[in-house]
Amino acid sequence: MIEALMVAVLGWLQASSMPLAWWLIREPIMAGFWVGLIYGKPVEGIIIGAAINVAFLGWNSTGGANPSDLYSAGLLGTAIAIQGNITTEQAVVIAISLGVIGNYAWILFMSINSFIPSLQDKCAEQGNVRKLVFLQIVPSQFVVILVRGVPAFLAAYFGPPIIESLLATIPVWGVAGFNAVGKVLPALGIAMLLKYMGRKDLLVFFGAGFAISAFTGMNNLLFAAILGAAMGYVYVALQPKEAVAVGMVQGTQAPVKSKEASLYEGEDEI
Amino acid sequence: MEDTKNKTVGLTKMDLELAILRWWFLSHMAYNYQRMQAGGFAAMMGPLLKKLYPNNPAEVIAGMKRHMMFFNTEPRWGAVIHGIVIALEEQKAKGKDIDEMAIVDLKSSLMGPLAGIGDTISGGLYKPCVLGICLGWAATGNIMGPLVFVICMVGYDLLVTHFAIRKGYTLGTSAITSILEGGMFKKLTTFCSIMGLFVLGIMVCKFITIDFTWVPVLAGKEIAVKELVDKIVPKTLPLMVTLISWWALMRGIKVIYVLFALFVFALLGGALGLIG
Repeated sequence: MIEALMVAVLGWLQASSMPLAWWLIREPIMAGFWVGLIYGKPVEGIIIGAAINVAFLGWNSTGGANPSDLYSAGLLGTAIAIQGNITTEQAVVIAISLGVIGNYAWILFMSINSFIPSLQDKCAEQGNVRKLVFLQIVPSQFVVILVRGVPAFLAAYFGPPIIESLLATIPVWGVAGFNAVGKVLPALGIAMLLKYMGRKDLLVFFGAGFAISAFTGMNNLLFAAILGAAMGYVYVALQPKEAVAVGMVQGTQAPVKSKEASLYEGEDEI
Repeated sequence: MEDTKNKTVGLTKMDLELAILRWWFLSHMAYNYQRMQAGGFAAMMGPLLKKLYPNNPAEVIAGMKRHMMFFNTEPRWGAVIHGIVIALEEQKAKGKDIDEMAIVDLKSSLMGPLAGIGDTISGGLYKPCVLGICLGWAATGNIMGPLVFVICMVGYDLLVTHFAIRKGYTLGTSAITSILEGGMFKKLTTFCSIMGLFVLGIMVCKFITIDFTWVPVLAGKEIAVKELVDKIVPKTLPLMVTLISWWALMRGIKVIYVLFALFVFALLGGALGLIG
């Protein structure tokens, strides 16, 4: 009961729509960590959260095009999986299915909030800055508690027995299918990201990364990022100057160049 | 009357810093379909307007009204607009002849392009790269995963917002357009794309763990498909699934349909014992 209430608080905070909430709680990797802490299994929480997060690699916050809701998938998925006897693959399937329903929470949030600017207009007409800022922060919190907090409590409290009994009725071949789904779905996250950054002239780097990992078994991503950064640097540095200078004012070329150099040094360290 | 009107105060460094923090915290708190980030923008500008027009409530009201208009951009890189607008409002308060429609036009003309740049860099390149590395750690239960993720993202968020507003404030419109038209962003996105794509190639092998489990019996001999495929190109199935999904997305097929198709494919394949 107390644990479920704490999950509900997480559900509220993760969607309170401020940067600290985005990065501290919203992403499944983080939600998994907190839920794990609540139920005394932080390591399992991180592992489940990470698995769910892969399917959301291509998730973008602009909304609309997301098939599944990042907030509820991460939080509710880990909250249910960690309480029951559920494999990581099954957790991914449950999380993404919950996220499909969870999309409505986002639509509700955005719709109910649409009353707020009309109230803020009145503050503007009165020149009341404090009230306008108050309206920016407070009313939406109640919306979030309603559309995120309450469902999170219900899912964390009543979810595990329901999901477990559902899983118990599935025959062996069904469980095998279910597990396969969990292993395939991360492909969607990667494909969405590929659509986003996959410029045709640069696809060879995707192929190179795959080939290196497939044939050598190398899968250290930090090492990959450093290697990728080095290749990116060389590629950009070797590009002809004319192509870069297009549209640039003659006089400003030198200072802009030095700025680029410093930017790349920063990126190299990632 | 004329005398009190012209008595204006300039903005201090502190005012700007507080405005940056206000925007950073409040931009999306009342995010809505009607006017998106308008409330966040007005909440950032309100205290500045009060400071700029201490004895002229009419100007404060006019200012708040013009910043309650529809606004939506990427909150970090797009904050360049906020810097420019703050500078313009300050000039206007000091008596420069700046049309209020010019400020509104500036906001609506820059928010689209900057959202495009910002979303590409933040959502499409930076976050996935950080996430990729941190998920690698987290998948093994390493606390470094969540920890590094938070530090990288909050730090990036704060630094970029800060940098963008300050640059917009000091450089103004002309400098921003020259940066946008110059080669810097093209180079930056090319660099990030290469790094991201390379990491993505490795993620295919690391995170998509599906493989063939099918062992057909041909002429009395058991043949493990997985071993056969691994001898040619290992991890073929993850790559194929990714590429087909990508191809479908590029063809304009809705994500939810691709999700559904993957679901059915894997469920059937798994149930029949072909993949797992």
